[in-house]
Amino acid sequence: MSVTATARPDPAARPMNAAIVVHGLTKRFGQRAAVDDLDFEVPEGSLAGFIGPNVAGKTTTLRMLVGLLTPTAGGGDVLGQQLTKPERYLGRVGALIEAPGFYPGLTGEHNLRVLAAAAGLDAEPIPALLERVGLGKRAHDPYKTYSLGMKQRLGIAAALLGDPELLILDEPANGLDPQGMRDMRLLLSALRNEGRTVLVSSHLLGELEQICDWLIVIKDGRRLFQGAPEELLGVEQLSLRPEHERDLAALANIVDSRGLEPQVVGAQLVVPFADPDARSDEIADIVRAATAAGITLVEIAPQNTHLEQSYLDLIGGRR
Amino acid sequence: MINSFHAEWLKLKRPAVILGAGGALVLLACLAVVLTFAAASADVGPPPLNNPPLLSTTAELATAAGISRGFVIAAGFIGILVFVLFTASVAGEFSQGTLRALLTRQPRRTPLLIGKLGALLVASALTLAVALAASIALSFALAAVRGISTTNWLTSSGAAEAGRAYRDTLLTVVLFAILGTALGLIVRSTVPAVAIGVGWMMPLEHIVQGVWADAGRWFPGLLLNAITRSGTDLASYDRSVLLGLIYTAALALVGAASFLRRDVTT
Repeated sequence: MSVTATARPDPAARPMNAAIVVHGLTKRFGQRAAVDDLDFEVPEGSLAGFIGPNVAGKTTTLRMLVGLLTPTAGGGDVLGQQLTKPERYLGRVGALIEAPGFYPGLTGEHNLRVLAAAAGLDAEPIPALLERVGLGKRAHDPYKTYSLGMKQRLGIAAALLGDPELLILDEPANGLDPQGMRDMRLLLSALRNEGRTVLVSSHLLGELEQICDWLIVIKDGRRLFQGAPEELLGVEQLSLRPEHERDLAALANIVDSRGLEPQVVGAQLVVPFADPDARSDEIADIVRAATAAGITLVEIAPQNTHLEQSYLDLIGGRR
Repeated sequence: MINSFHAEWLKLKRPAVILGAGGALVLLACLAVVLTFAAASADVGPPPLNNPPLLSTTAELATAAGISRGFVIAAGFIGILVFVLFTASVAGEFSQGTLRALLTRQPRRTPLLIGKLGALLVASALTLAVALAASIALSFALAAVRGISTTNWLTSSGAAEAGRAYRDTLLTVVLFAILGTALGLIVRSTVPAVAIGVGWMMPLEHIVQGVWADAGRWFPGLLLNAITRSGTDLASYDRSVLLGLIYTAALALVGAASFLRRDVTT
C-alpha cells in the first residue's frame, strides 16, 4: 500500500462536530438483542476504533449505519442526516462491511467499475485507488484468484470510491499478514489525515491503539467506554523506591500530605496520578520534600497500564 | 435505476457471459431445430394425450409456421434456462455478499432491483432475437437438406409466424425471468432457490400432470409453456397468458416486498 502521514493528531484540536451520533440504538433478532440501547458518537475528522469481543454487536451496528439493517429501536444521525434515511448520506460514505463481497469471475478493476456504475461515480480514479491499496499489479486478475488479504485491500479500494467523507470499515485487517496490518494502519492514518472521519471495527485493540484518537468499546451490544484512548488508560501510576526500606513510611507521609493516595508494594511506594498534566510538578515536589527529609530516592519509574490490558479489564468486567 | 442498469450491463457484456449464457440459449434453439428437422417424417402418428405434438411432419414444416417450428419447440426449455439464470443471478447477489456492497452504494432498493432486472431482460430479449435468427437460418439450411419447401416461409405469413414466435417466447421468457427473480429474492441462496424452482417447474408439475389431467390448466410452468405453443388443448392461449400474468404478479409482489422490507444479513 502507498501511504503517507502517520502522526496521531492532537485530540484537543479535533473538531467538536460529530460525524456519527447514535442513541438508544437497538437491534433484536427474535428474542436476542444483538445491539442493546447503544449510545455513542464519532467526532468529525477522527479515526475512531470500534472495539469489542466477537459477537459484541459491532457488525450489526455498522450494518445499521449503512442501511442494511433496520433498527428495532433508537436512531441517530450520520453526517447530519437521519440514520433511517441512508439514501441521504451514503453517497458521502464508503463502507466495507464484513467480508468483501465481489463477483468472483470479474477482475478487481471490473468489480470496482460495477460498483462505481451502481453509484453513478466516475470510474477514472479506479486505477489510482488500486495502486493505493497495493493491487495495481493484480488489478486485471479475476477476484477469485485473490488471497484473503488482497480481497480486504480491494474492499478498502471499493470503500474509497467517490472520495467519501466518512469511512466505515468492519475488521479491515482480517486476513492480513503483519506487514499488511502495518500497511493498513498507515493507510487508515493517512485517510484520517486527509480530513476524513474513519470508523473502524476490530476485536483486537492492539490492531488500532497506535493510530486511533477515539475509542468506542462495546460488549453484549452495550457501550462500555467512549472517549480518547488516554481516558481508557485511566489513572497513571508511578513507583518510588527509597534507598532504605525503613524510609517507606516517611515517604508515604510526604506523598499522602500532597493529597495523593500511595500504596506500599514490597520495597516501593506506588503513587497514582489522577491528573496527568500535573504529574511532573507533583513528582518534583515529592522529590524535593523527600531529599529535605533525608530520604534518597534510588528509583522513580512509571507504571504504565497498557491500553490492551485496560481494554481486557474493561470487557472482562474488572473495571 | 439507470445506474443500476449500467452496473448490471457491465457484468453482462463480458465475453464469458455472452458466450456462456447467450451461447447456451442460441445453442438450445439450434439443437431444437436440428432435432425437429431430423425427426420430421411424413406421418408422426397420434399426439400424446393432453400434449400438443412436438414432432412435426414434413408437410407441417413446409407451411408458414415451419420457419419457426424448431424455435417454438425450444422456447419452453429456453424459458426454464432463463428462469434458472435469473434465479441464480439474484440469489447469488445475496450469497456472494455483492448485494451488500451494491446497497451501500445504491441504498434505494426499488431502482436497484428494477435496473438490474431491466438489464437482464434487455439482454435476454437481444439474445432471443439472435437465437431466432440463428434458428431460422439453420432451418433454411436443414430444409434444403431434407427437401422441404420454404416457399411459404418467404411470405408475409411466414414473417408473421416468426414474429409471433418471438413475441410469445419473449413473453414466456419475461414471465419466467420475473418468477426466477422473485424466487431468488425470497430464498436468497443460489442452490436452494434453483432447486426449488427447477424442482417445481420440471419434475413436480409433470409428475402431477401424469395423474391429474387438469394440471395443465393451472400449473404456472405448464401454462407458461402453453404460451409458446399458442395454447394447448387444456389451456387456451388467452387463459395461459392471463393465469401466467397473475401467478407472476403474485410472486413478484411477494419477492419485491421481501427485498424491500427484509434486512440484509448476508
